[in-house]
Amino acid sequence: MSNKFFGQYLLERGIISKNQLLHTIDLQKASHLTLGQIAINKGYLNTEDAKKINIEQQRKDERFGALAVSMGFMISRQISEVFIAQQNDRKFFGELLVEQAILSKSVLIKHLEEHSEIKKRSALQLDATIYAHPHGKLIADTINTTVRLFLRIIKMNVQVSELVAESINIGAGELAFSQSAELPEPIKIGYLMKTELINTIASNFLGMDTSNNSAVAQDAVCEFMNIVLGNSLAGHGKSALTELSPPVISGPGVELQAPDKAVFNIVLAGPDQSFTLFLYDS
Amino acid sequence: MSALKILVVDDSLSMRLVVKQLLANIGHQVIGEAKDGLEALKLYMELKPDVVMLDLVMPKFDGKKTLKKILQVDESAQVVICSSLGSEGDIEYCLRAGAKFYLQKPYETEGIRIALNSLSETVE
Repeated sequence: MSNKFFGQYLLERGIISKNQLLHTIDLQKASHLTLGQIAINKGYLNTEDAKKINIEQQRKDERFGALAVSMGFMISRQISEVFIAQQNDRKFFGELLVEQAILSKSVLIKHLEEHSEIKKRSALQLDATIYAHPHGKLIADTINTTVRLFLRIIKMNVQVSELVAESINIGAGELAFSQSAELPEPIKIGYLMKTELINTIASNFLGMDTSNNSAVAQDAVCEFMNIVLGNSLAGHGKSALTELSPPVISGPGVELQAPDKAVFNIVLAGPDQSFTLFLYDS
Repeated sequence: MSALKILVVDDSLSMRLVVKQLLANIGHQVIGEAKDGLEALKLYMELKPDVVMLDLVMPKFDGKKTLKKILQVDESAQVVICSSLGSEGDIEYCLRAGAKFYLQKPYETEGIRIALNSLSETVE
């Protein structure tokens, strides 16, 4: 099970329809200030610049935040701050479903409890140093999502080791899988693992033996990574469109190094097998 | 509900294998597979499927662009998004652009069943 926006959770269970989901998002939007208004209130934009962005928005099929950055009016960190302020300001999705009589209060509470239980079920207690990082919540979410989905397909005990800042060399019999995302800040995540573990993950994920087909096995790990990062990003920059590159595979002899030095090397180790998860800012 | 003819669009070979098996389990037929948006458009016009199951994160021509192109070619196209992405912004964007349903990976057979049932009123 994965991190899902509450509306998506209800849609996939057939509890609300597509139209009810979209209408409720409309009501939610009407219940809070626009990104431009919040940015003006925080002193990040003046009214004239906000108008220029709005005009550009009508010309192009792009979001306010992306345009504000590309037009040089705001920086990514300010956009993230404004997004968060907007999310905190608005009415809850479930509250609006009750107001529209789509769900009763008791049914809403039942689904909220189930939704929250799924998130809590395999959440790990992580070291405070992880949360101290500017992307600490994302790092923690990524570790938790990896573990949750990993446990689902491979049934192993997982421990998160200390954070170690270093570059990562890919050794013989190992492969690294990496993927980039925009939050809108750019981040990268990677997995480093032995070939045997690649086969184990792929076989369990697909429900078929992939030991004689390394291309399918590697493809399955890429998809697994795609799912982990997509899910861990789901709670970040909620209103933004996610930019996620397809995963890239690197082989032995390659040294993986973060452009800005800080590499987070988190070893998830089980009784028989282990792999390394690394996360860094680009 | 009667068997649907489905075009699966996903750059991941392994995911196409999984989806094909899940669809077969509930009595539907995959009539075509595409690994990017350009292949998907070509196959859509050739095969005229009842439903397209469309991934979003793909090289060359991604799922959001493919969704728009398919709907330009056939405004009644029944597209179900199947993606690892799950931000509210992504879900809203695709549903407003004309996708009929959104499934976030990983999904179970039941999720596919609910998605396809939600289309049944409009699929012949």
